[in-house]
Amino acid sequence: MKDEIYNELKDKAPLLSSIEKKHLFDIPENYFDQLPSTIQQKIKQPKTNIIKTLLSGLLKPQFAVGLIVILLVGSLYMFNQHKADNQYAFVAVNVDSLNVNELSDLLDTDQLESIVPADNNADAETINYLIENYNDLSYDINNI
Amino acid sequence: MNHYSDKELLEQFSNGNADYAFNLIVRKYQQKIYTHVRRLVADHDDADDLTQTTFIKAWKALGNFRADAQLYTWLYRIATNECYTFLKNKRKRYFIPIHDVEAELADKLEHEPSLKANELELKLQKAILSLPEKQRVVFNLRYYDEMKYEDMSEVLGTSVGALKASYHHAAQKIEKFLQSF
Repeated sequence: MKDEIYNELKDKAPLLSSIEKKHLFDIPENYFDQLPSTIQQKIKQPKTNIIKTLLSGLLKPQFAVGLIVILLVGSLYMFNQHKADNQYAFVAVNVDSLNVNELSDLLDTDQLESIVPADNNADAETINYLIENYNDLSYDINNI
Repeated sequence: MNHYSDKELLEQFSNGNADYAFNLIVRKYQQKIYTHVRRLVADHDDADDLTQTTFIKAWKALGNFRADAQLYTWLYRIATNECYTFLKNKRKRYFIPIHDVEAELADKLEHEPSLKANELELKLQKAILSLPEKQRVVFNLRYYDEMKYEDMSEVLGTSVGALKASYHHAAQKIEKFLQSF
């Protein structure tokens, strides 16, 4: 194999093939004696250690502060969401049971005007309708 | 150094002697894997971490290892993928373009107190670092580990023809680099 690799290089890269191959990096003493036991230890570490590590990480001040902020923001959001849901639920439940007067009390007049613009022609039509259809209009008017 | 074949070690592993067999596997291949990784990442601490991760991943997956595959090419494959991921993360972390990691490694080589290289050998290391990442792996596996192209094909998932071409280009680039000094 060595010869095969040397022959492969000697023509196309003569300078490269002339360099002696050797281990250039120093490795700490006894590194390879200790590595197998280091790996075995890591393999044998109980899985609960992961949870322990996570918990000990969470107990660090910077993580604890972050967690508190997240919890506060989260609970505020949840509270507002719950409140908004309740408001809609109240309106939905009660609208059906309200009579016309109660309903009109609830309506915002300004808002209503912006939705339904004033229409003088419509008012005149209503008055005409009442005159034509009610015989004793004065009675009704007096009793309003 | 143990004298068990890979087949014997794998048999021991699956016959209820997993701890003992795996310890022998680590002892058999630790030096090759560490050296392969160290050539790619230069730093001892990084190489140490990556070598440990390689064997831990191997331990977790060894139960599903296919008997027809070769143990040593499989270990090299895990180690090489770990190095790729490590270098990719390093680039992401520092938001630096691809060649800068290699420049950083070359700089590390120059100031590495544990490097026992003469001027020409140091140039060779720098020339290797100037290669694109995958070409560098091909060159290292062939030149230093003296791996057969067929085995390299298993490690890198690339055809033998493409590997030969890649090695040929890498050797020519390195030769030019060495001649330019």
